[in-house]
Amino acid sequence: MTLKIITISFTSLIAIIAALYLWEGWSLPVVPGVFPRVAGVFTLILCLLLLVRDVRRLISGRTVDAETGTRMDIQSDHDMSVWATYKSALANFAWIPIIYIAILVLGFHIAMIVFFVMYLTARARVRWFPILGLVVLMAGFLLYFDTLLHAWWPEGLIERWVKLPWL
Amino acid sequence: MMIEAVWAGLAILADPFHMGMLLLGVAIGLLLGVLPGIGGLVGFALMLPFVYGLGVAGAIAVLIGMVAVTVTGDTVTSILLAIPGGAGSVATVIDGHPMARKGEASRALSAAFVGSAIGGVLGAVILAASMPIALPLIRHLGSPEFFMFCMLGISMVSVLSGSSPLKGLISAGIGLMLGSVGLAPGSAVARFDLGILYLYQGIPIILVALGFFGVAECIDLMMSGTPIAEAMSLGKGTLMGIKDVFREMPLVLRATAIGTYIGFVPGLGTGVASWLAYGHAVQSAKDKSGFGHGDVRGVIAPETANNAERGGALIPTLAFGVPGSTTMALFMMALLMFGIYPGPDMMTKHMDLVWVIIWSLAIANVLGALVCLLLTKPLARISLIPIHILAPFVLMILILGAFQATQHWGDLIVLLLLGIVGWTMKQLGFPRPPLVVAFVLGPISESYLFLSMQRWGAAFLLRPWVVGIGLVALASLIMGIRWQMRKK
Repeated sequence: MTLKIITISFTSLIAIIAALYLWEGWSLPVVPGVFPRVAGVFTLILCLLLLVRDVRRLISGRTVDAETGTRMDIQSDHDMSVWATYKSALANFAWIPIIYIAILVLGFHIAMIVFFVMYLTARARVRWFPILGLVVLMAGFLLYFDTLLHAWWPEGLIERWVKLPWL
Repeated sequence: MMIEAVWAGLAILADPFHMGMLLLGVAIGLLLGVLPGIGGLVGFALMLPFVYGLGVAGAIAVLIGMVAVTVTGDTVTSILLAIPGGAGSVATVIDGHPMARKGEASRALSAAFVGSAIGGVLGAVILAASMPIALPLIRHLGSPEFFMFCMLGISMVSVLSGSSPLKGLISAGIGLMLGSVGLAPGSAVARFDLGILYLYQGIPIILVALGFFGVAECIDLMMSGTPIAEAMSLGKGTLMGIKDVFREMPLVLRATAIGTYIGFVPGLGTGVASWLAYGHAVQSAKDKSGFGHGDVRGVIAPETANNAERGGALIPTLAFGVPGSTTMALFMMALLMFGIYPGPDMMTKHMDLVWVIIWSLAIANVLGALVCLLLTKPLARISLIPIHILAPFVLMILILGAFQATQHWGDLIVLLLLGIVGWTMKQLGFPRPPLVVAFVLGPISESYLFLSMQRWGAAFLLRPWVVGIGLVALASLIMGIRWQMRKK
């Protein structure tokens, strides 16, 4: 039931985005507007068809048939309830904005060290000595990027104010 | 004269210095390929300042050696970590990563490497054989035919939707919408940029690959808390993967043909080649139940095609001076540095250099595969590392790779947003492959449509090749839908 509601919500969101997309597409001149109009109409109609199907199933209380046949994508296999799955996903996704904020403030290099220490302590529950080894490995990897590939790094506030030796 | 040029090219490449440059190119290509977001294009940009002092043959050897094997190196992270190394290895994730999760990482890697080598070598052979017939052939092909090739590619979404055709088509619609963000082809109109300058240029393909697949799979692994594979299956190793390739040789040959001829069409690239080959592998298989769950054919087909595509992309570049991709444009720039003008001029006056290119392509693919095969077992062991040890490295690689797209904070924000959408789609059964295919092909087909309408008006639809390719595309779409309906 919860999964059906989430699916309906997601499809509704896509339908709204497709409708807004179509609305903006109609306001474009003909040449740049043809494709958006076709794609918008196509996506909106399909979303509405799926919504009708899923809402009817929800109202009738029919369980969604297990999808047989070939699935053209990697399958998820979480042994958790729907809410537990989404809660766990949120907790794991939260690491990414935390990394971004750290990069913004500390700069990429320091942020990575902080992130490694935090994550390995909190999630992997690894002791200090292996953490140190993994941080050194990570630093070596970054050095390879720096010296051989001249990769671009997001700059942090501290890096703008303080001249750090590796910059 | 052709035979003399063949042996002259080989003799030039056999020089120890030139062979050394080829080896250097292969090493750089493999190292770059392993890193998501950094591929042949970055390698070219890095190497171009240095190649002038190598002489034209040395420059060709190092550049072709590098570009031939980046798609081989891409495979490693695709299979082990579900992080596509580039656009050409996204299709490999679908079956390659499940194989790694079943403890068959060695098998998947070796099948991919050997398939890549065969595809690359045969692609070079087709390149060589196509030279005499390329000029009359290209006179029949123009933007209308290329538009229809794109429609053929988009028709594959019906197959790539699997058992969820409605959701698959919605995914394709999302892909078309995402692909139209930015400047419209053929006009200076910015579309759907939300007033944000970052979106003016559209969403880079690498962010779509890393977000929808890399981030989504990484989060799923972090949630599971288990290693990628619980154990390495006995008897499912390197040798089995090699045997798989030779057992599936008809598929390998067909995937090579698909890859080479997709490479021939300017602008399509390894991404399209690998998806078309994957879709064909599914369509042509009698037993399709394994696809999406770790079927080795789902690894062999795209990996063969994406290496063969390199040979195909060189045909318009060398024969007509028309670069099929940005990488080929940089390669042309390298040749121009030495006063070599790709096109009919090169085909008449520098046939020996053309053969240096062909030999370099073939040998680099073999060398790249051999090196990778030696590393298969140690690489496969990565799948046994506890995920919470691996996850920080994976996230770091994802963020690094994403930031190389445009070196803008927008890359990181888009990566996160696409990762959230990709993960959600996976949970709710919306297949992601149709989205990627539509994202890549949408803008390309729109460009060709614009050019066709400008030149011929609607009459372009009546051209013989357009009708022929269009019928094939329609048949593919109908067969895909009928197959799904039969399943229900």
